[in-house]
This record gives sequence, structure tokens and C-alpha cells, in this order.
Amino acid sequence: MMLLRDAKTLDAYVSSGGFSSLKKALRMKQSEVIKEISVSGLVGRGGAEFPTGLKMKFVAQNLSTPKYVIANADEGEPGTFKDRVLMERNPYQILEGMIIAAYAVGARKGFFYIRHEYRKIAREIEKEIDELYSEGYLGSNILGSKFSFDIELVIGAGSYVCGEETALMESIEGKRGFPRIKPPYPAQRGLWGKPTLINNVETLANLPLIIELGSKRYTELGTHLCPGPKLFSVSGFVKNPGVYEEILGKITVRELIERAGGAEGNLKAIMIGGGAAGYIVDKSFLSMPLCYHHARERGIFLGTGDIIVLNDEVNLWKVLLQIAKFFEHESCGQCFPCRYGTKRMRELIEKILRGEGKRRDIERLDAIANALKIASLCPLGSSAALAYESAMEYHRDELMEVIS
Amino acid sequence: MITITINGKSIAANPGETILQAARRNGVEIPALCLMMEDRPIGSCGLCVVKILREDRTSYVRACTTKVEDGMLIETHPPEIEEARKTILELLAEEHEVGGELQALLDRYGINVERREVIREEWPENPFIFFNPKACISCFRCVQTCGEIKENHVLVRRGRGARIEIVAGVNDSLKDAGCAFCGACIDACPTGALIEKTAIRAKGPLKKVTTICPYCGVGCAIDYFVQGNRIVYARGNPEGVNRGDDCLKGRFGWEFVHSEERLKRPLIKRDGKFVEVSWDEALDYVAQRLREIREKYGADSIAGLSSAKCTNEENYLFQKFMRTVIGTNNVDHCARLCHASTVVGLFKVFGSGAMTNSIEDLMTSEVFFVIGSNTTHAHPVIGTLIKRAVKRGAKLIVADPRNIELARYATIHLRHRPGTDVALINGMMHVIVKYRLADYKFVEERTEGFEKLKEVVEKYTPERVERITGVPRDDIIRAAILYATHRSAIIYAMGITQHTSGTANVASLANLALLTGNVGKEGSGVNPLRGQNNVQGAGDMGALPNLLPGYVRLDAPYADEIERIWGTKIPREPGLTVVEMMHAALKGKIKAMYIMGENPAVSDPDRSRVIESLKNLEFLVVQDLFLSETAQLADVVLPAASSLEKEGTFTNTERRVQLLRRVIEPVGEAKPDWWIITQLANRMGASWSYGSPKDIFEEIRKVVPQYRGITYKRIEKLGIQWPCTDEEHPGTPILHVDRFPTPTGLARFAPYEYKPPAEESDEEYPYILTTGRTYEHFHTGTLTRKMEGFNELMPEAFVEISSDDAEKLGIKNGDCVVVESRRGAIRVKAKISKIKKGVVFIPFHFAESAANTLTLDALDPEAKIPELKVAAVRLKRC
Amino acid sequence: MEERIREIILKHSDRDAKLLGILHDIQDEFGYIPREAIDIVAEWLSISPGEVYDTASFYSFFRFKKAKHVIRVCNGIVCNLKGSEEIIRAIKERYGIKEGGVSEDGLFALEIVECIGRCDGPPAMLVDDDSYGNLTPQRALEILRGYEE
Ligand SMILES: Cc1cc2nc3c(=O)[nH]c(=O)nc-3n(C[C@H](O)[C@H](O)[C@H](O)COP(=O)(O)O)c2cc1C
Ligand code: SF4
Ligand code: SF4
Ligand code: SF4
Ligand code: FES
Ligand code: FES
Repeated sequence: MMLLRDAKTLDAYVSSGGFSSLKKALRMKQSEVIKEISVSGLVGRGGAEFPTGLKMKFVAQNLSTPKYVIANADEGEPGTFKDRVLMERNPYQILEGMIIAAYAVGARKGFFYIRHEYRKIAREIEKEIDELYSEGYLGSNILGSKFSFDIELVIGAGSYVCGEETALMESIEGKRGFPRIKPPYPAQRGLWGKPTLINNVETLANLPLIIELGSKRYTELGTHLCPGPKLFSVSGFVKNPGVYEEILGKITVRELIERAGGAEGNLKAIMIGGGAAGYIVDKSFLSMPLCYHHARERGIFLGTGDIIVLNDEVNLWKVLLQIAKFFEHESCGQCFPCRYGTKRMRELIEKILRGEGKRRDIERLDAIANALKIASLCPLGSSAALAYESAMEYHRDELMEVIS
Repeated sequence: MITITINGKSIAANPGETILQAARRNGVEIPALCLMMEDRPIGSCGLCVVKILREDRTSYVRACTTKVEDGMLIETHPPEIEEARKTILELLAEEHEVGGELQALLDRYGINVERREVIREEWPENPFIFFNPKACISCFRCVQTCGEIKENHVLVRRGRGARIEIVAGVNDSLKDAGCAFCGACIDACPTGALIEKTAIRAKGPLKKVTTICPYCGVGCAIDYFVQGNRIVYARGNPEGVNRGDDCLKGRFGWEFVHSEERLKRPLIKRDGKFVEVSWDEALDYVAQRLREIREKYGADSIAGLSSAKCTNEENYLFQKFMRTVIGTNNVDHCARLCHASTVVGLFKVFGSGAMTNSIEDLMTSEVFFVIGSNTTHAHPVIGTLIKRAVKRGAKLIVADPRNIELARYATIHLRHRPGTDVALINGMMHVIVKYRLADYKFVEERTEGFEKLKEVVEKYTPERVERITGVPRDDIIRAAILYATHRSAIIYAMGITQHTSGTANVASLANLALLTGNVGKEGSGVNPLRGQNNVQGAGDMGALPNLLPGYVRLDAPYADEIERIWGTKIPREPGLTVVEMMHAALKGKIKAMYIMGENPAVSDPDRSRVIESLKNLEFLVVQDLFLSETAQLADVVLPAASSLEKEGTFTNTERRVQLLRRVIEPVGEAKPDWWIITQLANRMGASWSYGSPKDIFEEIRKVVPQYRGITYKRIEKLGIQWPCTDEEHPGTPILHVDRFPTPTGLARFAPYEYKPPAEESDEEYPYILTTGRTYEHFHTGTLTRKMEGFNELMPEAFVEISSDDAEKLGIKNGDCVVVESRRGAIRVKAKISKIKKGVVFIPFHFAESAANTLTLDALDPEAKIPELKVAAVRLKRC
Repeated sequence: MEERIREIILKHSDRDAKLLGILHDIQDEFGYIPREAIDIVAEWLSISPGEVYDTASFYSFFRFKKAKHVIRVCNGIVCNLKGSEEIIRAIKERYGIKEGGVSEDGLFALEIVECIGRCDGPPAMLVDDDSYGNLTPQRALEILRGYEE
């Protein structure tokens, strides 16, 4: 295991080679570090699949100072718990990655933003950060170099949208978590208007690997299109739900489900990409290799790497209701399409579940989905209709059965 | 220029503009509901979304936030976007009562859906603003206005998602949340959810009349919306000096004109009771009585108080009446009580006694030094300007013993003891000289007397100043450095002037500005903020016992020229000032007074003695809107028209001569003051033929050189700042750019030593009382206290006291307290605040607990301004 | 109370990210965010109380009503599929609380929340900071009994 190796103490981490990458990186030029990461082909693991090296380059090239680095541990996507398990089992690798990232882009200060539901883990991370200070991995002149870096831990307060990078920055600044209008992007104007690199914690945990292995060997893992290891959260109707670390592109959806003990009952549908901002697809996807590229070819996104297995006892309208409720609850309320659209979707699905669904209601749902996609201010709103639209595509007959 | 394509048409666009701007410029209409200011899009409505076509993909972006890029291919109305717009509007219409801009959009898209009842919380009551939660679409325009634009941060958002709501503070009433009642949120609201209470029931067309605010010296232009002879609502005019801003008084303070208590007919007191009489009877009677008294006791037994609330034309006529018809220089006005020391002090140093810079150019200041001015309360529009500037990065030094609102924005807050300003300023100059931070080139080229100054400030080491003022030495040093090393503007008001050392205070500030070269350029200067709307004008017009119009001395050669224009002799003996008049009346030397629009029975120091003096007169005529405390003592009361009922000009604090327009006809038989004075003059033998304020202004132009180039026509849109010497002259936004109006053209340092105030705290009276104005009321409350809403906001006087002192005295918030000085005692409610220990504050608007019962009338030796800001008092629970 | 709030604020004075942390500590201390606290925090940060409320009221974790313990039952998609509604019903019945309400004795507040990242052990809940998975109605009530003291 490269990500889920069990190294809960600093000793364990260091004795299994931890922080050698940081040492190596500190001997490299900053631009060399960024180049390694660019060449590695690493893309963000937080859902948006943006090339990490490119993002670092944008921040590094921005002349404005100070710069910031943020580790995004807000993990709010339903059905996603890989960051939690990673933080529980291998926290130092994330922190090491964060320090390397800060060195590469020239940041002096970082924030570790974690959702309050993980408060217990946050306490551990806080201790670990303190430990890194006393061992010289954080603070002034890290490991005797000229590089200094501080990390502040920030605990969220119950808001999914705060995982969105700009809302997260507002939150750190002490404001309500309203996403900002992009552009400007965080690399241009992020936290307190300064250039900011923000990455998912799993993305950060990849950085020490790339430095340690070198970009060449890292790319040799996985397929040439999608390199590197990836964590998958598998849940729903499977025998052994949990987080599984796989090399991208090396196994199919079916194989992953088998690793998790196989489906409970008769598999009917799979939710991929996220338990809210994800796709409800059918069995034909079982043969799809798990990698970003193949997913995109089939018109979906891997997102955070969730697989939720749904069996034939599940009422898909009820699943859609649950998702609609989620979006209604988590819509920040800043923009009209999402604020009212998510609410109306929930109401319409409730009506359908009461057995009162009419064709007109489906038309209305379609119209709202259109407005959400086109006019929402941030991706939360534009992804609120993904599940509905994909379910309609792959399970239309079943869904239309109850519509008169 | 770059090229973009909108709906297949190639157009040129400016780099940096948004798609919406480019589209609008080219006549492409894109719906945009949440956008208020193009440079600060909110982005909430999502209606302005457009489609961008690129080679590899299409995307949808907000036109209000997205900047144009070269070669952009844009579609503004493709079917899927029109569908989305319709859906959004439907969703809105289903949940809200609509009105305003939103209704227009719904009509455009032909949307007609059934509205369902959505319960949203109402706000707690407030006197002025009506909020309809059912119509609020949470677009946040009001929140943006209240926060970013007005810097009030009262309206905020609660909750999230579809349950998001607009609330004041922490679900407080507007008042408790610190609402300034500037009403800007009303202007922002696109649905009519926020509206003036007075406008709720207004139907049919309204007439808009723009005139100048009847309150403070900022001189905001206000648009009044009128139906019949009644005002319905008012708002700041975007073209005025206020640029659309206004404050509680400007926006809601017009209701007094419709008050039931307005005087509607002349009154004569018979057997101790007022009876209504005709104008002819009243005027004949006054003329006859004044003539008799002049014959019996001589012209100098008569005195007149002109008014800073009256127009230039009226002030001009009033002093001309006193000087030429009565034949005395006993004419003064209330500026004596607020800014006489400004005129004397600035005159001494700069050769001219007015605000040096402009309101607009204060926006370019890097540092503000605000001393003795509770700007956000007394001059709110300038207060807002300062707050905004600070948010943009300007620095602020506040010197005030009270924890005034601006202190929250201050880089440095100097809480000096009342009456120790000279020491504080000298201390700052000491630091500047010591660290060689002075502008030596400026001092060399443009000033004289530097050595004298150096000698004086030498002794004011920060340590010594700390002992005198109570301000930590480091703060004095920091403030001095900050001020000296930037383009800095000094702003002050009555906290500086109303002292026995008023002239010294003002001159010291002027010294400080000279020393650092902060005079005669943009964003700097010494800027007194005038209290009443026409204090500047009343002085300009010569409503002063020792100066003729245009600040011409009675012995100056130009006085002969004025005599020539007037065609009569002018008495050359200087007359009495306000406080001197009262003393003389008490002694029986003054027998009759003519008081126009002033209320000395409340506003003047040592109030019981003032009342006694007025009672001692043989004859008193008062001309006012209301039966004020002073009017009640009169023999004849003449009903005057308010400034909203007449024409004329006001000169604001920055020397801008502005035109008044008649908003409504005078109520009852009330008449403009100029008409009354003309009538009286002609009944006393003059033959004045002024038919309108314009006729009078034409004469003013001949007499007052500073006003020569100003005509009514030129100031129709925006006023002109004097000096303006001919009709081509653009006016003077900044004084002293090249030279000072002194004989040598140089400014003259006028150093002063610190002298303790006339009365200091001692064992018997251990607290220092300072007085002032509140946001909610104005002057003696003759106007504001006639309005229910204002009384609701602040029904009674209070005494601010520090928590330490309160604890020592066993006083709790809201307790009744007796405040007593050597001159009298009043009862007020206690208000515990962050005021400096040992200092207490009482506002002076309230006749029933008049602060001026406590103050003393010790005078500044030069300007004769009384020390209203410092008196020794003691306190105890009732 | 005022003193305690000031201490909390002081603890955060050299941090860059202040407000959320301060509010967390205040809620830990008092079980909710009292009005006085909002005023004091606002003054210290030189913002208006309304601005503090604007932020605080956005986050579902911050409460303005007092409760000793907060139960957050996950009703996210996975837990819902695995029977979270039964858990919620059982708790409501046992303590007579409504969703979003507080039990009469002020002991428990009940909140129905979205995914808490324990989908590998559904249904799951949080009681204060502790998480519990693989719940049955019975087990959930047993756990809560432990908080009753
Ligand atoms: C509504 C919403 C919620 C998000 N939540 C998270 C999250 O919890 N964790 C995360 O890492 N990224 C989340 N993201 C993605 C972030 O905006 C951002 O893309 C990510 O932190 C970048 O890191 P990466 O490039 O390493 O993936 C979310 C995005 C949206 C739109
Ligand atoms: S799309 Fe939804 S979550 Fe995103 S800004 Fe709009 S209301 Fe907020
Ligand atoms: S009150 Fe008016 S301006 Fe304010 S949010 Fe509601 S609709 Fe918008
Ligand atoms: S600032 Fe002064 S002039 Fe302007 S509206 Fe307010 S009271 Fe009137
Ligand atoms: S105008 Fe409302 S989003 Fe652009
Ligand atoms: S859905 Fe309940 S823990 Fe994820």
C-alpha cells in the first residue's frame, strides 16, 4: 500500500521512509519539484480532476505574496470516507505532502481545513502538527533549510459547500461559506485575496510518493492515461464496505465490488462518483476499468471515487429523494437557481413518491435540472441534477412506472 | 480594443469590461436582477447567464461578472438559457409577492404562476422603514449596500439555502442593530420589500423637487417626492455633493414641516397670552415698538440674532436691517456658539477662516486626523466617506475622550482629557520637529514664524503631554509620525471650538498642518465641519458684530464701498456677541431683541441666566417655525417658512453656495424670513424693493467679492465653492494652493501655550462634563423632536458615564441621575459606555433636561465663544 | 461568562483564522452560542454583531439554543438505505424530541444530518464528538443511556 500504509506514529512513519521525500525535495529547486509533479500526471483527488502540477505552477508563477497552501479535508460528499481513513491510518504522509507543496509554490503558511464531523481526528492531527514543530519539520528553517512553513488547523462547522475551494476560503476568513464567483481562481486570488494552492488530502499524500519514486516510476504505475494509486470508498449493498486502494485503470468496477465481498442481494444499479454529485448507472458499467479516462469516455466522472451498490430492493425514487434532500439542505442559498431549484426538486420527488406523479412533474424536473446546470453559481448547484438525469438515462422505465 | 461576437454580430469591446457592459452598450438587453453596481456584481440571480462557444466546449457564464476576452463568441438568448431564465423567474414568483423590477421581468417573460404561502419572519417594529418579508427574494442588494457601501453592517443574512433570510443584527430591531436609517437599502431593493413607511400608501404620480437638506453643514442635495402639498418620501440626490448618500435626518427628517405644531399665524402676547393676529397688525406693532425703543434708548439698545438655518439672502438682509434700519452692529448668530473660534483661528494663521478643502477631495486623503468631531453622528455623510476610505486602506487617527463610532475604524485612538487639545497638538508638533518630519521646503517657502513655533513646542515633550492629556506617550509619537508622513487631512468640529481655548485649538491645528505641508493640496488641509446647514453662509453674509459681509472689517476701506452700494451709513463701532448680548440684557442695557430662527433659551450656556435675560427685555420678537422655548418668552412671534418652503441659497461647510428650491408651499400663513424682514424694514422707513431671493442675491454679488462670480443660473445643478471672482471662474475647491490671503502671501504660525480650561474638576465637582449632538436629533430639537419617529429612536436625554465611575457611584444603566454643576442641576438617565474615566457626556437637544443648565459661559478671549465642552460636575442617583 | 469568553478570544488572538475557532470553543464551553458572546466577539474583531451572526447562522453545527449533548443521526444516502429512519424514530420516541429540537430536560438536542463519513458502518451517528456505527435502534438507545448520567 502506498497511501493506506499504517503509520499512525511519527516513529513508524519515519522508520518506513517517511520525510525522506521532503529532504529530497528541499535539495531540489522549487521549479524542479513542480516539474516532477507535472510530469507525474497526478490529477486532483477531490473531485474536480484538475492536474495538480499545473495548479502548482500557476501559484508559483504568481508574484503576489504571501501565498497559502490549504489541505482540504472537508470530505462531505455522501458515500465518501476515504480521506477519513487516510487521515486515521497515514496522517504524516498528508502533512509531508503539504510541506512539499508549500516549498514548491513558495508559501509560508498553510491551513488544514477539516470537517467538524471528524473532530476526533482533528485533535489527532493537531497533535501531529505540534509534533512536527518540535521535530523541526515545521516552523522556521525546516530541517536546517531556508524554508519556513506554519500550519494552522481549522475545523469546519457543518456545511458541505465549504468543501468547495472558494467557500472553504471564505470559511477560513471567518465568513459564511458562500462560494465565490470564478474567475479569479484561487491561484490568482485565493485566501485573503492572495495566491493559494488548495488540494485534497489524498492528492497531497501522493506528493511524497512522486518525489520518492520519481515521476517516471510513478507514471509507470497505472495506465499511461491515468497514473498513480487511488482510494475508493465502497459502500451500500456490499458485504465488506470500506476503503480500497487500487492502481488507477488496473481493475474494473466489478472487480472492485468483488474485493469488497460482492454485492448483497441482486445488484441493480451503481452510484459512481459521489453519493450526491454522482451518477446512477446500470450494470453495463461493471466492466468499466476504474480510471478517469475511461469514465469520461462513458460520459461520467469518477469524482471522489465512490462506489455505492444498490440492489433490487431499492426504490430509485427514494434514493433520488435522499439526494434531493441533501442538496436542499446543503445549498448555500446564494444563487436563485440552486436555492429554489433544489427545494422544488425535493418537493416534486416527494409528490411522485406519494403516487401523485404526473408527466408535467417530470417536465418540471427536467426544466429545473436545465436551470441548475446552466445558471448555478457554483458546481454544487450544477451537479444537483446529475443523479436524477443519469438515473433517467439508465433506469427510465423503472422510474416512469409510477408516473401517470 | 478587442473584438467579440455577440449573437453573430461582431463588436468592439473594451478590455476589462464585462460581457453585460459590452452587450448593454450595443443594445443587447440581458436580464440582470441582482446587479446593482456594475463594478461589484453579486451574482445571485443567475438571470444574466450567457453561452460562450469555444472550439472544444461550450460553457455558461454570468454576463455580469465575466470579463470579455478577445475573440469571444457569445450567445445571449439561446433557447436553453431562455428556458432557464423562465424557470428561475417561475420559482421566484411561486414563493414571493412581487413588485418593482422583478414584476417588470415577470411581465416580460409572460410568467403568471400561483403564489404559495411561504412564511418568513417579520422584523421587529421601527419608526421609518417598512419591510415585507413576503416580497424579499434575498438578492442581498440591501446587504451589500448596508455593508460595503454604507459601512453600517446592520442588514445581514441568516441561515442558508431556501430558508435564507435578511435580518437586522442578531434578529434585532433596526434601531438595536445600530441602523443609521440612511434608507440606502430602500433604494437598493428591486422588489419593493423595503419601503419608507410614509410611502406605503402613496398612489399616483409624485413630483420630484431637489433641494438642500435642512440640517447639517454637509449640505446634501436631497430629492423630495411630493404629492399635493405633502412630502411622501425623500432620498439623496446622486448629483449632489453627497453623491446619492444621505442620513436619517436628510431622508426622514422632513416630517416636521407637516407638524401640527407649526406656527400658522402671527401671534401677539396680550395679558400674558398669545393671540393670533393678521400680518399687518403684527408687523405694524413690531415696527412701532422697535422705533419707540430706539428713540427712547438709542439704536444700541436693540440687538438681533440672525440664523445659521436661514438662507444667505435672509442673513444678508437681517444684518443689513440691523445695521442700516435700526442702526447698530449688535448682530450675531449661533455660529458664535460653534465656530467663531474657527473663523478667528484660521484667519489668524491662513488669512481665511473656512474649510480649506472639499468633501470630494477627502476621498484622496491617506490619513484622517479627526479631532473633536463625532463625524458619523453629527455629519453622517462625511462619516460614511471616512469609513469607506478606511476600508479602502486609508489610516485614521481619532482624538476624542468618547468611544465614538469612528474609533472602531481608527488606527490610533487618542483619548485625551477634554480641554487639553493644545497640549496634545503641541506634543505632536514636538515629535515632528524632533524627528525632523516637518516639510521644511513648505515651511521655508510658504510660512513665517517657524522659530517662534519651535520655541513653544520644544517644551511639549511626549512625557509632559502624557501627564496633561492622559494619552500614553507612545500613542502621541505614533500619531505624530503617521500624520506627518502622509497626505493627511484634519477634520474637526465643536469638540475643538467650544472652549475658552477654542481659538488656540484651531490655530494649533493649522500650525500642525503648515508644519507638515498638509495645506493647499488635495486630500489634506484643515477642515472644520459646520453644524447648521448655513453656518458658513451666515458668517459670509456678515451676521457678525464686528465684520461686514465678506468678512470686511468695520474700519476697512472697503466698508465705504459697501456704504456706497447700500446708500446709507454704517455704524462703525463693533457690536455685541451672543453671550455679551445676554449679559447686557440682564443688566438692562439691551432693551429689545429680534431673534430669527434661533433658540438661545436652550442652546446657550448657563441657560437659567439666558432665560432671565430674555425675560428682562422690554420687547422681544421671535421669528420661527415653532413656538420654541425662546418664542414662548416673546412679545411677538412671527411664523416663518421652513427651508423646504422657500428659495434662496445655503453655503455648505466646504464653501459651496447651493441653490434651494421650494418643495411645498408654506403652511398656513407662514412667510419666508426675507419677506418678513423686508416688510419690517419698509415699515420702519426703508424702501426696499426685493421681490425675490434672487434680487437679494444679485445685491450680495455686488457686495461680497468672494461671491461675485456666482449666479443662480450657474448653480442650478451643483453649487460653486467660493472664492469665485467672476462669471468665468470655476470656484475654488482647495484654498491656499499657491498663496495665502495674507498681506505677504505667507501663512503665519501662531503658537499657543496650553492653558487649562476655565473650570477643572475638583473634589466638590469631580467629573468633567462635555456636551454634544447625537445622530438622532439636531440642535435644540426644535425640528427633530417634532417628529414621532425621531423621538421613538431617542426619547430623552442621557448621561454617558464610564463603567468604572458608574460602579463607584453605584449607578446602573438606565438609572435616574442628578447631574449638578455650580450653575444648576438636571435629571437624566444613565448610559454606561466606554467613555474616558472621569468624563461624562450629555447631548444638548433636550429642553427638559438641558445640558446647558450646567455649562458655564466663560469665553474664549479672542472669539468670544463659550466653553460648552468642559464643565465640572458631580453626579448622584436620584 | 464574559470573562470566560474573553479568555477564549485571547487564545485565538495570534491565529489568522479566528472566527470559526472562537465560535467552536464558545459552543464547547456553553453548549451553544449565547447572545452576549456574539456581542463580545464582534467588538473584539471590530465587526458588527450582525456580521458574526451572518457567519454563525450559516453553519448547521452552531446552535443558539442550549443543550447538554447533541445527537446527530446520519440520514445520508447510505445510512438511509440501511435503516437510519428507524434509528431516528426510536430516539424521537424515547426522548420526545422533534428534529432540530431539544428534549424537555435540556439533555439532548436531536439533529438529522447528512453523511458523516462513516458509510462503511451504516447507519451511523455522532453524539457530541464521538461517532458510532452499525446501529440498531436498540444499540442507539443503549449508547444514549450512557450520556444520561
Ligand atoms: C460542493 C463541493 C464540495 C466539495 N467538497 C470537497 C471536499 O470535501 N474535499 C475536497 O478535497 N474537495 C472538495 N471539492 C473540490 C474542491 O473545490 C477542490 O476542487 C479541491 O479541493 C481541489 O483539490 P484537488 O485538486 O486536490 O482535488 C468540492 C467541490 C464542490 C463543488
Ligand atoms: S449553486 Fe448552490 S451552493 Fe453553489 S453558490 Fe449557488 S446556491 Fe450556493
Ligand atoms: S429586502 Fe429587497 S434588496 Fe434586500 S434581499 Fe430582500 S429583495 Fe433583496
Ligand atoms: S449629512 Fe447632513 S446634510 Fe447630509 S443628509 Fe445628513 S443631516 Fe442632511
Ligand atoms: S445579474 Fe444576477 S447573476 Fe448576473
Ligand atoms: S451516509 Fe451516513 S455516514 Fe455516509
